[in-house]
Amino acid sequence: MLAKLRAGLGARIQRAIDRRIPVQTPPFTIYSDKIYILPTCSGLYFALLVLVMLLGSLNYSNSLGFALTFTLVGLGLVAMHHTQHNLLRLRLLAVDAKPVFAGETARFKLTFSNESCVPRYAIRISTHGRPGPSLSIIANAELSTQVARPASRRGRLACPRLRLDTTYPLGLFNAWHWMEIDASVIIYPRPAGDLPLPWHSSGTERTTRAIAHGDAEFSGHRGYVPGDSPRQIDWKASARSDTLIVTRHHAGYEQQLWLGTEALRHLAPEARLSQLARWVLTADAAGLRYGLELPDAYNGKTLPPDSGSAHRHACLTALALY
Amino acid sequence: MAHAEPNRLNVRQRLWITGSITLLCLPQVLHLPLWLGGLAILIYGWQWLSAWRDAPKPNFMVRISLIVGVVAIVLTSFGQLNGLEAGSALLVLMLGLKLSEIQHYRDGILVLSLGYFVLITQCLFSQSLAMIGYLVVGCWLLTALLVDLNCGPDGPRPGILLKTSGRLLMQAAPIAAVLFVLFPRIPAPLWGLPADGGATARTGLSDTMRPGSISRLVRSDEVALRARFPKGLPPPQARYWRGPVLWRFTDGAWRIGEIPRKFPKPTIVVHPGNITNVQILLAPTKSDWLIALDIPISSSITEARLTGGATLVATQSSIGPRRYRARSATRAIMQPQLPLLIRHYATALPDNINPRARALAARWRQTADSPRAIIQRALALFHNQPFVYTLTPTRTGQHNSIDRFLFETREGFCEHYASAFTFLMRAAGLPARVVTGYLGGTPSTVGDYWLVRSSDAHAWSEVWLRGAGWVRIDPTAAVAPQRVQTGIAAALADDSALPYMTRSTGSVWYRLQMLWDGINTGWSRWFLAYGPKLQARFLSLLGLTNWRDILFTLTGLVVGILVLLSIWLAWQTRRPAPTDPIQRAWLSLCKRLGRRGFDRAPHEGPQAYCNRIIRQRPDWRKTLVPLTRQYIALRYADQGNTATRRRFVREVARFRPRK
Repeated sequence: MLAKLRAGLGARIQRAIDRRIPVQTPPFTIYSDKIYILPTCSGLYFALLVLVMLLGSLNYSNSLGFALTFTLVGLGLVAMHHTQHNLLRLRLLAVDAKPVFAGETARFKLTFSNESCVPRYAIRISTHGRPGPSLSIIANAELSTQVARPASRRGRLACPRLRLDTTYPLGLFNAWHWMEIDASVIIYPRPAGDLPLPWHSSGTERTTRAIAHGDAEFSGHRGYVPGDSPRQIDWKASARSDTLIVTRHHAGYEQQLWLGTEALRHLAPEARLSQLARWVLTADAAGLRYGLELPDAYNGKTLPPDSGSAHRHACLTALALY
Repeated sequence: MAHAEPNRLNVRQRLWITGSITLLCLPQVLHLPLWLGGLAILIYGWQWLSAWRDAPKPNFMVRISLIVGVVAIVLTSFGQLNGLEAGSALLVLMLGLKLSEIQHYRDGILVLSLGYFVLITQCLFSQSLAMIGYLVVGCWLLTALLVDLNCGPDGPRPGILLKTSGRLLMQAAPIAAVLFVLFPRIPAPLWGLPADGGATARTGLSDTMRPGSISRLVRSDEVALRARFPKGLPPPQARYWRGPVLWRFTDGAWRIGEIPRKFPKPTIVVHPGNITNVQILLAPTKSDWLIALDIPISSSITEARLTGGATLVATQSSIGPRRYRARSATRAIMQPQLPLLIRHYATALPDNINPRARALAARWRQTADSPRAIIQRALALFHNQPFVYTLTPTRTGQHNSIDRFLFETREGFCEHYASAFTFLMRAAGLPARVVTGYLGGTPSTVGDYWLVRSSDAHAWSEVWLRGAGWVRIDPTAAVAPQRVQTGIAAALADDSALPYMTRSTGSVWYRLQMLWDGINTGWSRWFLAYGPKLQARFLSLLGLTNWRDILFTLTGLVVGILVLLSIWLAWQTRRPAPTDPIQRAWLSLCKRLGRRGFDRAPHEGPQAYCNRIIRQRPDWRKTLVPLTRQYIALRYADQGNTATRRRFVREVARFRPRK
């Protein structure tokens, strides 16, 4: 019964908190109306000690004792303001994250900027109650730190709600701030499956011959242009000249690979996406040109054959958001 | 960024905490008896070693047995756990044991908070000006360590820590000052005071006088009281300060006596013109006597009364200096009628002692024609016979000591003369008693007050005469009149036994000591003695009389100070202005344009920004475009000399975009 009450109360408090945390897009600054401050356990203990000292000074009419006690009272009050100002006007400049595969951990890189004349110390960042890194930024500087969130499913993973805590300078008060950042990272589906690349399902102008690296028809050398795959550099020829030389392969025999779901109907939907992801990775590793075709029924996309890291990212994103 | 056990204190922090706690507890160790001091050094030495090696907590059984051991040792040393000395010894030793447990952040904070507590216990031992140094250093150190614990792993250097700590304390100081003046002071002790007057009290005049008591006091030049005479200085022969009055003579010593303690206060008949007010600052003593100028009538302390011997005594114990005004009568008739019971006590003498003195007194009684004649005979004895006034007389032994003094050794100090004289008067049938107190005083070289030191301690006699009441007779004046006129240094032939400040005047060191005393007196008078009475006087000067006004003012001032602090902190966390004047000018231009609705986006370069504005406001093109070009040239191309730079700044200031 008590547990149910507590759970209910906790849920209501959580909803009240949620209402008060706006979703913000970086860059933004922390202002005083969103900083909460309360005494810590050590602060309460300190207050008790100061009370005892006050009673003692009153009893013995000891002026120096009074002076010391009142200095400690003043110190506590002053510390409260310092703690709040340690968070005040801290600025979050940007949130950055590299896409990862499902099952791995996404890392959000947060860049904070301390735009004041004084340094800020010991600002702890925690997500979902788990402690995270502790920041100290010197005056007028920026600092990046990382916050991890495990990615279990594919799709978009939002930046977790952050809580910034600080007890600087004296540990008597704890000031905190909730941050809900409007940023997310793409989580690619986990690549899985052992099926070979579907050359046979390519269309009429697509050949069935698998291309192993180095078997292509040689059609000449040309100078290296930035953007060429490094696998095509002919190192022997380049050593003989001053510039890098790339071997060109016959355009006519260029093999195009189309990745689609036709051969995967026997698999579960998620398994299909995993297999496609595996194929994309394999094709990209081999330096092939490949295209992706997803059925229209579920917001499918068609990506024409291309190669390179940008194309890989586009394909995996399409798979992730399917 | 620390992840592994962020709460754990590292070796450096442990060493610092151990070191500063050791420093703070050092004065306490000097107050402890020798074996406890040794134990404390042992414990703290062990803690230093543990901190150096980053040793873990000793196990539970070891800790418990150490605690029990320490408590037992303190209990056997002091016999109790709750006195001032026992309590602070226990605190210091337990804190030493606790130092072995500071592995984590929480323990560190706990130990540092207890460090503040150690500071305040030292205030109960001494409130001298030197304590301020100790308190300031202690507070500064402890606060700096607290900041260090809360700075995380990338904490600043020690210099910065001390600077931050100092800044925090300076910001807390005005609040402390306001609270000190305005916080309501409650008069009585809340739960009780140590019976011995606390650790700051000195042994002053006691309830017993035996040969050697006063001479012992004279060897110290500690200040017993400081007095200000607003209505003028009394002549030297009137500078008698009254302390306890002794009625009973047993075993060679004079005591107050149990019954005389309960005598009611005497009637004092005095002409109003002969009453003087003296402001007294009494140094703390172990007794409750309020020393005042002879003959005291009343004092400004409400919890005080006049004893049967006309001495003021406080009914409420207190620790620390007492500050009061005493009304005294310089010429009066004390107790014009003597009740039979009091006469009985004032003439009582134990039998079978000092037969020769008794015989002498009996002879006087028979041959003299009035009580005054008897007194004159006694004083003539002291004056004409070769009596010597010395601090180091030949010892007489307790048996028939007065006979031996009067007829054999004939050398003594004021207590011998007062004792012998009073004995003779009682033996002659006159009511007499011994009065102890002080005689004389030295003026301060820096202030308008007089110092009465322990070395001015004195004993004299009082005889009751019909029609005149109790009359002061000082037999020392018959032997060494300079004692009354000038002071003890002039009265003694050999003053080498006197303390320094009593026998020398005018030297540089003397003057320095007097200067220090002047500072200490101001300190004692205004700061240490700031209690309910002084606060009430001061606050009524400010116009604050009732509690509501005082609390409102207090809250208002504290809130005001905190608001000022907020403003200061906000100014501290401002965005720093760039030092380059060109950049500053450009930023102010952007701010001005921003006010007109053209905020510069962070990614916008000056050219793009300018173009965007020009598109919407072509009327600014004439001024804005050259300014932008100039800015780019000055800042990025690094062209231009001082003159062009100054011109740019001027032109930017002149550009005022209108709506």
